[in-house]
Amino acid sequence: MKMRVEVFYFGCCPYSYFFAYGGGFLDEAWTRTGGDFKADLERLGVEVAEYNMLEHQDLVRELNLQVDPYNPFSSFARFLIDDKEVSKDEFFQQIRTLKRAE
Amino acid sequence: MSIEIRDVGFENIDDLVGPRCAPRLDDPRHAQALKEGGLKKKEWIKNALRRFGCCAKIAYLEGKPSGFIEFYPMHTFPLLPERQRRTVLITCVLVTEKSLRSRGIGSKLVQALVNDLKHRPLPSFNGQKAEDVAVGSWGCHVGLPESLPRFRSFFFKNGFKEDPQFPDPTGKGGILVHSL
Repeated sequence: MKMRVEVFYFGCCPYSYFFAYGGGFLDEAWTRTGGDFKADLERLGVEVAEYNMLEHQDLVRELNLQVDPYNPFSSFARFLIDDKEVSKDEFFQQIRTLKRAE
Repeated sequence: MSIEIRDVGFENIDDLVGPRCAPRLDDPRHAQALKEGGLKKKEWIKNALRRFGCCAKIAYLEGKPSGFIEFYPMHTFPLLPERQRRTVLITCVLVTEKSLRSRGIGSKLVQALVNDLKHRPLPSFNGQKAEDVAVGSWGCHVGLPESLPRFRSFFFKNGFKEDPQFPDPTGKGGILVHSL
């Protein structure tokens, strides 16, 4: 099974990248653990692809991503299993199933 | 209080990116993703300087970087319709230390940008000058509604006006524009 996360962020804002990985601006518990969602994904064998939306306009348009171009904090993450986009919940459900099988 | 406004160039990128840009970056307990976001920004700024020549100004207070304004040609942003007038979008105005806010540093940054754009031909506009500078309001677009009155008052004071006709595919409105 090929698992891939595509992260879209505005390169002009570090918080856009942070939010794309699920960081909460006010989520002190999460942000203060030094937790790294990206490292967790990679440990689980998930391929992670990152796109600065300011440099990949065509892709953003093609995928019709729901981002606010006037909000530099905007970001988007797509979750794919075997090249098919699935919900974040379904994606992590699959990961949990795989982990249990191990 | 001596304030000097300088363009960001390759020699002072670090005065823009890093703790000044995201104050929590220097917290060792902070998530790795935010630190990486800072590095991504540094990469982007280098590319932007090559593409646009200039994309940010820094305020130096007594020689120390204290705030910045960042801006890009509107067509840099995905999902925005083309606009007939040559427009620069402000993405951020920030004075990092709370104790230095409301002391005119932000206004000096905005005024420096407006004055610069009135005279500077931009490679992104085929060597022509920008006609408008605009900003998407934080209250409407960033999701900090409590900041909206202060945001509007700040930009109105600096010559911006709300333009309900400004293209906004989000439908959230509140775009403020300054004609140059």
